Amino acid sequence: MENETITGHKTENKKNELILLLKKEGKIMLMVLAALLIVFKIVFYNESLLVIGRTALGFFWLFVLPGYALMLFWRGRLDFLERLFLGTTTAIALISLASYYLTLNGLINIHWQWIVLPLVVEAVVGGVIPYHQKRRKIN
Amino acid sequence: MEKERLAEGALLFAVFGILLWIGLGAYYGHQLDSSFPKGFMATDSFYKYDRAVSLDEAGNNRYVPSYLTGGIKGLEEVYPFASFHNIVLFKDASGLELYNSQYLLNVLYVILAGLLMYTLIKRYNQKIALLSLGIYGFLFIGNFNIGFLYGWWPQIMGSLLLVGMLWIAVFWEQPGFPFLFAILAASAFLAHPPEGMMGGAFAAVIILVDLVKNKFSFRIIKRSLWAFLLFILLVAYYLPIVISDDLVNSTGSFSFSPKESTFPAPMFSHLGWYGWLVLAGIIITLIILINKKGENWKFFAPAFFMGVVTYSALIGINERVYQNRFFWPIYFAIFFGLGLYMAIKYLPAKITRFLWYGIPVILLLISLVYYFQPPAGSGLIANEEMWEGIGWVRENVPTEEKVLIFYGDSYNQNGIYSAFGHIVYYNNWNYYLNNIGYDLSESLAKIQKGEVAENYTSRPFIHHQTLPKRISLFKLEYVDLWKELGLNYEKVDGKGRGFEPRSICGFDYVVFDKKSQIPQFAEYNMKVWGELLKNNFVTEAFSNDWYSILKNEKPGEGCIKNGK
Repeated sequence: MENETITGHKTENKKNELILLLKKEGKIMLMVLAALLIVFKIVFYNESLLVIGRTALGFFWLFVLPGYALMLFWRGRLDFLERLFLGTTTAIALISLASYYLTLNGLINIHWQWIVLPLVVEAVVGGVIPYHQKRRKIN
Repeated sequence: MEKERLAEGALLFAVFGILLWIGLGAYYGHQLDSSFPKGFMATDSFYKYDRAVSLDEAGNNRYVPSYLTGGIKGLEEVYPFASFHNIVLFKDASGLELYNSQYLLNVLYVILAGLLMYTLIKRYNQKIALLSLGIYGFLFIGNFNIGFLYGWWPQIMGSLLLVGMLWIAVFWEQPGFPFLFAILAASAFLAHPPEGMMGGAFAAVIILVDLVKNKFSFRIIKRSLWAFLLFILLVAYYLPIVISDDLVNSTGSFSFSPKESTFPAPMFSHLGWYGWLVLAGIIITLIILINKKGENWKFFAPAFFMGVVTYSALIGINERVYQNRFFWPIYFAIFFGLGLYMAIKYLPAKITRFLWYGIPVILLLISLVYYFQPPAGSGLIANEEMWEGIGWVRENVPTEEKVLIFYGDSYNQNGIYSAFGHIVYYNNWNYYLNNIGYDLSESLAKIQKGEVAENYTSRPFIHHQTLPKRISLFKLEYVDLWKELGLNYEKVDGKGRGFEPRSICGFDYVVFDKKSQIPQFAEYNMKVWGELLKNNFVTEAFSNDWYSILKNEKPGEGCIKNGK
C-alpha cells in the first residue's frame, strides 16, 4: 500500500499537517455535499428541494461525516476517495451497532440517536487524535 | 494530476447519478417521498418492514411484537436487527416515510459498495478500475434487483459490509485494520449473519496465507486474535440466538447435494454480453497470475472467493448463497474491467487519457437502454387507499379487539397481515386456489352457491412457530407458540395451522376488500358486507375506494340471519 498523503505536505508538525488537511478536505467535503444535492435533484426532479435537501443532508450527516472523521486515523495511508467510501461503510456499521446496543439497553431514545451518534463519533475522534499523534511521534 | 482528479470525481458522480436513476428514480417516478410503499412484492417485504416499524413506533428491538405471536409477550426477537436501526435513523434524519427511507438507503448501500470496490481495483490498476464501473448497471437490472422487491434489506446491508470486509482483509497488515474489520463483521453479523461469516472466512484465508508467507508471525496472530475477541464481544448478546438450532434450521440446509434456488436467482447469462467480458477477464486473470507467479493475487482473491461462494449451492453448501449473486456485478467488476481493458488495449486506434473516463458511462447507458426495465407495478400495496386502510386498523383498533380480514388479492403473501399491526384472523381463499392442501371446501362451496354464512374457516395470523425466552445472558428457552395458544401447527388431513370454522359475528372488526382481480370474490365480499350491515349494531367505521371496515358493537351476538 502506498504511503502517500493527499495533501502532499511533509511537515514535522503533525498538528499543522492535520489542520492543513482538514482545511483542504473540508472544501472537498463541501463539494461532495453540493454534488450529492445536485445529483439527487436531477434524479428526483419531481421532488421538492426541501425534501431533496433534507435527504441528502441526512445521509451526509449520519454516515458520510462520521465516516470521514473516523478515517482520519488512516489519513497517511489511504487516499481521500478510499477514506470517503470505506469511512462511510464503517460508519454505517458503527452507527447500527451503537444504535442496537443503546436501544437494547434503553439508554438513548432511538429518535434522538440520529443527532447524538454522529456527534459522539466526531467528538471521540477529535479527542483521541491528538493522543494518537503523540503516541505515533514517540514510537 | 489535478485535472485527472476532477475527471475522476465527475465520473464517480455521473456513475452515482445513473445508478440512482436506475435503482430508484425511474421506479419512483422521480420522486423521493411516495405516499405508499412501493416494491413490496413478497411476504418478506412486509416482515422486514414490520421490524423497522416496531423499532420506530415502540423503540423496541428486544421483543417480538405481540401481534406477531398471537398475543404472547416477552418473547425474544430472533431476527438480526442492525439494518433496521439504520433505516429508522435515516428516516429521522431525512424526514422521509419509513418505507421510502428503507428503499433509498439500500439503493445507496449498493452504490456505495460498488464505489468501494472501485477503489480496491484502482489500487491494482486505475484504467481497469474505471472500466469496471461499466458493469454496475446490472446491480438494478432483472433478477439482480430481486432483493429490493422481496424486501431483503438486511441482506443488502450485509453485502455492503461484506465488500468492506473484503477490502480490509486484502490489506490486513495495515495498522488498525483488524479492528475495523471486527466492527464491520459484527455489524454484518447483526444485520444478516451469513455475510459476516463469509467475510470472516475470507479473512481467515488471507491470514493463513500471510502466516505461511511470514513464517507464522506472532504479530499477525496477535492482531487477528484481538480482532476476533472484539467481534465476539460485539455480538455476544445475539450469539446464543444464532447458534440455537431453531434459527439455523430456518436459514437453509447443509447437505452435499445440489440445491435449487427458492427465488428467481441471478444466473450468469443475465449479464448479457457483459458476461462474455467477465469470462474473458477470468481467463486473462488466470494467465496473468500463473505468468507472474501469483503476484497481486490479493486483488483478485475477493472475486474468486465470492465466485466460489455463490456457486457453492451447486455442491449443496446452502441455498441462501444464491442471494449473494445480487452483488456479482461488484464482485466480478475486476474481471469485467480486465477483459475490457485487454480488448481495448489491442485496438488499432489510440485511446486518449480522458476516453477511459467516458467508456464506463457509455457502458452504463447501454445497460440502461438495452437491459433495464423498472419493476412492473407498485407491488402488493396496490395504491394509497389500500395503505390508508391498513394504517387505519393499525392506528385505531385497540389491541385487545379481534379483527377478521376477508378475501383480498394481495393477501396471497402472508406477511402483509403484519402491516395491520394487530392480531388478525383471515379466511384466505388463496390457499384453496393455490391448492396447497388445506381443506377449505366448505367455505368455497358457500361462495360458489352465493350463500352468506355465519361460519367460515379462518386462522389467526401468527408469524413464528417457536420463539425463545431469555433465561440468562447466554441461555434461551424456546416456547411453542401454537401449543401455548391451544392451536395445532402441524398439517394433518387438510387441517392445522389454526384453520377452524369461526363465526364472523364473534369479531369486533371485519375488513372487506372492495376490489379483486377475481370479481366473484369481490362480489361475495360485498354480499357478506351487506348482510352484516343489516344489523343496527354493525356500522361502517372506515371506507374508501379500496376498503370497507365494519365495526361490530356486539361481538358474539347473531349477525347473519339463517346463517350456518
